[in-house]
Amino acid sequence: MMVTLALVLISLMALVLIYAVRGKTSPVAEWDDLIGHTRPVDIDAFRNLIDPAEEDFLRQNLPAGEFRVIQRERLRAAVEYVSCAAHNAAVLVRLGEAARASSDPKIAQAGRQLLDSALRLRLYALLSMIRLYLGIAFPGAHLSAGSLADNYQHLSTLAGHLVFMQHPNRASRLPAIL
Amino acid sequence: MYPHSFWWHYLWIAPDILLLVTAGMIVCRGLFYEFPMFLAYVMFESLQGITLFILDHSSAISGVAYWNTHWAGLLVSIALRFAVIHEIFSSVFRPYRALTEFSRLLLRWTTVALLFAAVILTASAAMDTPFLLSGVHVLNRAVGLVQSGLLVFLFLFCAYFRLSWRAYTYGIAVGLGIFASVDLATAALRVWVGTPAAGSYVLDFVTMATYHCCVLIWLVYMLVPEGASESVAEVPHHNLEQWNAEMQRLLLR
Repeated sequence: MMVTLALVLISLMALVLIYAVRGKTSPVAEWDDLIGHTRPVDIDAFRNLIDPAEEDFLRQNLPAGEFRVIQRERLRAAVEYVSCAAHNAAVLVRLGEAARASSDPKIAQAGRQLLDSALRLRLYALLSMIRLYLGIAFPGAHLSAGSLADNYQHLSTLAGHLVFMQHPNRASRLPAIL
Repeated sequence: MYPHSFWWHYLWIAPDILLLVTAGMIVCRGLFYEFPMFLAYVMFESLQGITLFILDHSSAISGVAYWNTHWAGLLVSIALRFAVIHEIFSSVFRPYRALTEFSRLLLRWTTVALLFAAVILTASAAMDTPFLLSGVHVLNRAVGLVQSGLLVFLFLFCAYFRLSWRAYTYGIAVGLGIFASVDLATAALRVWVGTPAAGSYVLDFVTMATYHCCVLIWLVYMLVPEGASESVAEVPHHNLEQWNAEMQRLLLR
């Protein structure tokens, strides 16, 4: 009875999930679409939040209880940053896909690179989220999500190259929105 | 055999005819290179359905002969459905080289986990009716679990990474996902109520109606020409300043 009930529930959940996640894509295919769909991420601030040296400094100079509280706060903030970076990467996936289909080989190549980097960042963001939430649960443990910051900077550079090729006069505006 | 109603006959034979039309559309649109397994599945299902329909109405065919044919057809059908799922995965992930390795790894482990769950489920099933009858439902339940699990995994993976679907691939996946999920539920209920129970006739109707809907989904997706790349949406008002303010507040507190 319980097995049957569980399987029926699983199948219902499967149906709901298939319906819920259908065609979940961002409507971004051009540079102008980026505005309003992206969330700015201060890469230096994020780096500071996940800097192990900063964490060690706080650990040495604060009482254990206070350190845990503060560390949790810092990690929650880092989660927000990662979430924004992941969101921007999702938007750039669509932009990369649109650019990949371009008839201009240079733009198509830049689009492919952007797509690869954006997907990699989504992947790293997923893994980093798990690590950050583990850090919130166990604030005493050492954590580093430095590779995510490096990857995000790489992604921003690639997006800059792509925008520069498509709209040279607008490339300078990109850092303000990513 | 049951004294079948009009709707029973309709739900049995209509999907088989629609599947033949779907197969014709696949050939007409030149999709058989891209979806050879789906074409094989569609043709096999259609022919199997028509064959079983004839056998069911032939007085010369015994119940055992009918169920033996049903069993053989089911095994081929299950194998083809797995091949179609593999084809869908290949079609979705092929354009994304950054995810190739990760998706393969994740797919492998998801399959292992689902198979493990299916084996435990099958081993724990009580066989109080002849295996020829109850075995079909136990097998269907296990296969439904693995197949719907794989398709849900695919949908979630694509949703997270915001991967774009080709319309044909999406249609095939949705149809198969719905059918696998409903098949899992009905097979689980059948195993629970037992094969000769009165409720199994209702479950037959549910399965057949769902299958009919899924065939219609496949047919519609094959009939409607695939659109060009997505158009640019209207640009909404951006909220960058608010986001910056929120970030600053977060950093300063």
